[in-house]
Amino acid sequence: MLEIRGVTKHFLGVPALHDVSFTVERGEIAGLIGPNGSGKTTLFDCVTGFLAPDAGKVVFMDQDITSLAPYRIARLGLTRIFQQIRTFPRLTVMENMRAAGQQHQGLRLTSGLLPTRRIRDLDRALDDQAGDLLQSLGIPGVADLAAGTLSYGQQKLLEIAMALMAKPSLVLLDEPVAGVNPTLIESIKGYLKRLNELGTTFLIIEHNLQVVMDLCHRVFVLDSGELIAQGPPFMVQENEQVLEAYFGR
Amino acid sequence: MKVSWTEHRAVWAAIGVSLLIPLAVRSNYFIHIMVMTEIYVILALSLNLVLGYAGLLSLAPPAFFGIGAYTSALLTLRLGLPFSITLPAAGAAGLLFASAIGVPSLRLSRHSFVIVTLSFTLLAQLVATKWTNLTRGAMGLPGIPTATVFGLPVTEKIEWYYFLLGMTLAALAFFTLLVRSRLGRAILTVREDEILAQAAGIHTWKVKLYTFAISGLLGGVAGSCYAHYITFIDPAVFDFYYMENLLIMVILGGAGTVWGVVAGAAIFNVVPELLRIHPELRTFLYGIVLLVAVSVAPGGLAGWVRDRRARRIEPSPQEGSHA
Amino acid sequence: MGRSFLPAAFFTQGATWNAEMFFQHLANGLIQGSLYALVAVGLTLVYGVLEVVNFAHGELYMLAAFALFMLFSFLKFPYLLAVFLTIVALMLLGYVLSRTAIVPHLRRSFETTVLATLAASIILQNGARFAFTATPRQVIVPLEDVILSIGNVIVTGQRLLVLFTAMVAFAGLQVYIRKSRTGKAMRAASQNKEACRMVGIDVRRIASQTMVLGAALCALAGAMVAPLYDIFPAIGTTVVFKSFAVVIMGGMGNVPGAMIAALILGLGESLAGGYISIAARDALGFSLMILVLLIRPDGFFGKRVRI
Repeated sequence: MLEIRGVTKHFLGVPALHDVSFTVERGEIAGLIGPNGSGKTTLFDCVTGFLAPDAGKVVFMDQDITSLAPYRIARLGLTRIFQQIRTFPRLTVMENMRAAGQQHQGLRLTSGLLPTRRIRDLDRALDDQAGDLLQSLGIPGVADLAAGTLSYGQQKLLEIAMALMAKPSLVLLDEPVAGVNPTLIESIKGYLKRLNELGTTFLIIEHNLQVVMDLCHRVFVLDSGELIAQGPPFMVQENEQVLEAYFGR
Repeated sequence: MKVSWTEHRAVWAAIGVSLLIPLAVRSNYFIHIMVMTEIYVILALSLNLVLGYAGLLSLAPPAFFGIGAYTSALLTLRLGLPFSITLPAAGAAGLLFASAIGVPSLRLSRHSFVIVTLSFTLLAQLVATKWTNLTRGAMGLPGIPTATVFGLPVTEKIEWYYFLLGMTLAALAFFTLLVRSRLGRAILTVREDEILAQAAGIHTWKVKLYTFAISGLLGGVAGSCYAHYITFIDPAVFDFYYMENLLIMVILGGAGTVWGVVAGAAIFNVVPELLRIHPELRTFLYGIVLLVAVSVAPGGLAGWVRDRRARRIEPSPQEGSHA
Repeated sequence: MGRSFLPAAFFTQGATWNAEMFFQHLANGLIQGSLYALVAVGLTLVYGVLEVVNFAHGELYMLAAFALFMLFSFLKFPYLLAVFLTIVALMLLGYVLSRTAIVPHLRRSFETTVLATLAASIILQNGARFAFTATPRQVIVPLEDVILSIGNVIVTGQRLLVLFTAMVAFAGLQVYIRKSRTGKAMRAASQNKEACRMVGIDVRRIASQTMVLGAALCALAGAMVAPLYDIFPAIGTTVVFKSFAVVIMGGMGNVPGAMIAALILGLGESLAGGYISIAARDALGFSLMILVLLIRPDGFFGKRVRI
């Protein structure tokens, strides 16, 4: 579903990614791990159009998305969440959700100025979808609060909910459980598993290796911008290179 | 977004009061102040849209104002076209110029964008002054005929007051519809977090362009009304003086709100006029007020949001036990 | 209604070729460019180090011109002393400006600093209008009578002084930035303010020092150029207009880029004014700026901050 072919990216001469290639299959939960600074988020940026790779290609569902702008990629069904929490802080949670979902209803930007019957139906559909998502993620009560006033954990859940408003086929999650309490981690894990069973593919960057082991079907390991290992979690766990990368010689 | 009942009543009350003001206060001078206030409201909405809703600082409103004024004046004086044509033409001119400037400059950094909009305003003034064949330069364009709307003449100050009241209410209605629409929501996302907006599928550059174009339209319309009201315009119509007033009105009134800006426009036009403050002193005081406001309530809403994000340190693992 | 507005206003000069006129234009352009450079370098330096666009920069230049006028023409101080005092006064003003409009907002958003410096510009310009009125002033300087001529190209002493001062100032600036501790701190701040804070460099002090340096350059420009043109409160605006164009052309934050761009603009304007028309000269700055923004938004020489 997502093919990364030979992606390379330099910053001022320093290689952040070097000839990285791997494939994420449809329907799996894949993990992207590696020590700090190994280029994981940079790779996400290259895939989602926020950075242009110096070399290589990114192919999503048989379409070359390498040079597409981020908004186009999102509309194709590839969404992401960011490492540092991003929401629209001064808008309400409900408005955040609507903003995240309205592009994918296929309307032109300028329609909806006048509240016609069709617009109202679409608005209602949007609201229903948002309500359902908030419900399943366990934060139904915060709909009318400003997103910036939510607690850390709630904001993380909101982020995930927003990424799902687009009904994506593939979601890139950048450290979805960082700094989150263990109970919440379990429920997020459960939720992602359920979604995956229903057909959504995930690629997850995580430092919490326990979560990676539990959740991911396959794992890719980056170190200093290069892919050093890939395979099922238990295999990667034993891999010497991986151990070296994390713990040194 | 639901409008509360009190809001509804307040709005109707305000409209009612506005309808009755000229009958209560019979001073021609006061009516003039109110007419200028109405023009300022439209201009303030133009800046508010770009600065308060999209979070973009634009120094171009005086340019669109002046372009609208000159377009209207020239079409009337040279081609004899009536107000009912020159008004929309002025709006269209504002929209076109805004789009022309916006296309190259909205892709740039915010720093470059401010500089380009400022330079555009200065350039517009320069062109109006130097292109004497067209604009008569510093001598200006006098004798602009007054307007006829639906057959009724709009000549006296009080007629302008009611006509512009209608225009202002129309502008407000349009503005409110806009900011409550999907486009309006998209505009807000550009202000809140442009990167997240893009990741959510929003074509932020297009949103910014539409915003800028609409602000150009509003500015042009305001300019046209001004030209036909005052019946004389010259390059001073591009003066930065208008920008300074607008900044105060929008920022202190409440960038990102509708009625706050209206109140701001009213207060900051009426009060200095009534106090007979000399224009230079007024601008000087505005400078001080702006400096203080910016320190105490920095950058209005737009800057405030970005400040909060900038100042947020790495979040400590807070518990959000909702599962 | 006339047929063609544009050509009439646009092309007013004849197209006769005259080698001496050409060199005269070049000489004038060089000097004009030096003026732009002195002002623009301060502006781009402040942007490069602090990421702040100082909208009050033009007013610093304007006040320097007025200061020179007051000290030299009014109080009858000797010229060099007047220049010196002008620079000192402007450095002080630069410091005050930095402390009121820039330092408090260093960690805040970009819009905030823009509005703050804009407010400062309003205060300074209207204050000057109030204090000095809009009547243009002239400063007559002894060097005006000194005329140097190479062939038939004429350059007055004062203009030569501008050129000379600019060159010395830039050389001094380069040395200062490369060798002095403050200069190194500035370069550090331009790359990463957070890192500076972490190693104990006081970014606020750097902010003030950079502003003071920029103000000093403006003061030099104002004091040198005051005798050449009329002085009135609005001159800051026109100069800052050109300076912005230069800063954009050279790449924001790029000091050598600003210098080169300034010379290009000065020469370009002089040639345009001489061979096309005054209108072309005035429009050149904006046109080049837009052109650069369309083709190379980071400036001809790149935005990578080079000081």
